Amino acid sequence: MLADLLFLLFSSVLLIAALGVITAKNPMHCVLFMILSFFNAAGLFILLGAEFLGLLLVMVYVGAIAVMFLFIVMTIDIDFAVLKGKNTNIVPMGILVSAVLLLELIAGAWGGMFHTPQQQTKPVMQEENAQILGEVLFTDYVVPFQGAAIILLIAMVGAIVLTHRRRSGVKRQDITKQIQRKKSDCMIVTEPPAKSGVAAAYFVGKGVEK
Amino acid sequence: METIQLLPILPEIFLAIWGMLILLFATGTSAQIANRAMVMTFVGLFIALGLQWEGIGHTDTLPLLKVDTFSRFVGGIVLIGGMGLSLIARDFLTRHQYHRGEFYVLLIFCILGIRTLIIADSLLTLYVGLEMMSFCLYILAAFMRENAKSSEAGLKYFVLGSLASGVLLYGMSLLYGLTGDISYTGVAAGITSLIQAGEPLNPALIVAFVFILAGILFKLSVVPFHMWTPDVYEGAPTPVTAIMSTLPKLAAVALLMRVLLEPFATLQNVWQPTISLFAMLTMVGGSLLAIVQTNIKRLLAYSSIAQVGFLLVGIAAGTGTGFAGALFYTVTYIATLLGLFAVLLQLRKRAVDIENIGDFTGLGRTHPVLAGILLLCLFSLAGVPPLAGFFAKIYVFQAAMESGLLGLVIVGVLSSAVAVFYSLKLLKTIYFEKGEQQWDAAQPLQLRLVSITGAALTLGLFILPHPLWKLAMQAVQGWF
Repeated sequence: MLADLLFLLFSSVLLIAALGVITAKNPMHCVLFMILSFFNAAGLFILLGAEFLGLLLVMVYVGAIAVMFLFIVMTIDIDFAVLKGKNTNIVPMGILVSAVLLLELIAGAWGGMFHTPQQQTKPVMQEENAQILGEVLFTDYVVPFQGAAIILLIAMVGAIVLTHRRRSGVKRQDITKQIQRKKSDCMIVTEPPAKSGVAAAYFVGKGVEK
Repeated sequence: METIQLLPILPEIFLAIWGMLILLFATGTSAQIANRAMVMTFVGLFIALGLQWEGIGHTDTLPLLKVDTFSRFVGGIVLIGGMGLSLIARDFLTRHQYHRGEFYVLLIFCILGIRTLIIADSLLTLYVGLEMMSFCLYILAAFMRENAKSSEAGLKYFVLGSLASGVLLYGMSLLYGLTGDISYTGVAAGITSLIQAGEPLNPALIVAFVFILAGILFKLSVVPFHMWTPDVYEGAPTPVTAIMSTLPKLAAVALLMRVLLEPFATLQNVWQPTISLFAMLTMVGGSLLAIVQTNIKRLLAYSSIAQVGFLLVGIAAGTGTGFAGALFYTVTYIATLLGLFAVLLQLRKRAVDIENIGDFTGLGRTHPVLAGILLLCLFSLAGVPPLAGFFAKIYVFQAAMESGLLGLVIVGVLSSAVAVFYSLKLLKTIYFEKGEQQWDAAQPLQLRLVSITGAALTLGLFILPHPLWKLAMQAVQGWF
């Protein structure tokens, strides 16, 4: 009973959030709606007994991908007026695509595509599936698993090799320089004559001839 | 739970750790550090070769892997070729201020990927190895990132290569759906049971087979899938072109053999005519398009396409001698190309790298040895008698004749004649045409070493082809 209620909660919020992703005018709101839908999808996974998949969804999609989306949205300059004006042009195409997809869904449902036998909707694994996955990944599939890790390492090396460069004109912290700096390098003690102002005092202090 | 015997895959484990050690201790732009990376790479590949020797005789079953004589033969050649490749890059990259340790890290990981690909016994390991190899090559192609051509080459290779990987992956997923297994033996059993069902041939099986074949043939740059090759070979830095045209070719050939003989063994009457057709197209297309090239790297790209066509003749024969011939062919091809690229990296006029064929004038007078090695290697690729390429072609053509593929052999011989034609054209430019003749003198020792070794192998494998031929025969013995 509680599980059914939770399912209804998660799935309805998921649908509303998904709708929000495509209808919100502000791209920042779209990304936030997307994060909400990820969380609810994770909840659905956990209800199904796939808690590892659910946590993975939160960690990878919310923790990494959605945050990256947020950064990207922040860095691009979006003109809301232009966005609103352009929206009308693509509406007929959007309706067409959705209509085709809807028809396909109805046809699929008619043909019995969504008719799942009862026993398949139950939780697939009884034990903790993080443990089971870990055992398989580190025994039978250890070679492809480690290979995938090396591929990620290669991608990191590649990203650094292809994009990192030393820029000129950037102020960096140089600790040796900071420590070796002396008082005499950056401080001038002068006795400015009365009523002549600081600027004059500076020139006098530097020893510049008038 | 059974224990895993690690001895057979010791070289792979060592290479992975060694690559990370180089990443830790030898990355950066200073000349000294980059030199350290070069030496570490050379030594590491040598140690891996020794470790492979240590593992001979241990054929314990590993999950998703299969180490046998075939993978040891190909893996050994890859390590030796990698040692040669690690030596020739320094001079060129230093001149362009791109000599840094990361180059060698990527080379080591590329070799690791190739070796993973060769010992794979399941579609999953195959894919991981293939991507490991390709990722390194994409990055290496764009290594000179401020050079527009190099960046273009990297981008083009990356986009098209990813497309090919996607196609391959789609084929694999279909195959998994049909057979319910990803191990080679499981897939083979699944396909056999599909065929025994009595119906003509499952169309999904054909689609899966075609997709997987297309993915592999793309990496081999076989003619309908060759469009990327000339642009990428021309744009990439020359040492990287040397890497791309040797080791991944051998990897793809070995992979093709494995895939055709293990999962798709029961489809031999389907793949044999398919490979014959591709071999014919590739030989003719590569040879004819090579004639009109004016850039030596583009010429070598088309020449390498044609070479792949010749070794496909051996695979199309479908017999033990044919497959051994194709392996022999690939090894001689690698030795020749190493010599050729080591020469190309030494050719400079007024500190500018010479790539245009019209500028090769006067090379015969100022650098007789270099000109000699260059022509020796080119004529070996064409298959002219006192050179290794001649025996390589004889072996594959003989196997094809035994399998009754007379038409293929005739097309092959005609294509070789075309290859002789463009080699003669280059000979004419080098020795007889007038033009600017001022060639730079400085030649680093390791480049000379590699070019002379390549030339010596090209000659030596003609005089003594037997030891290598025996090794190649032993390598394919497990299948026939």
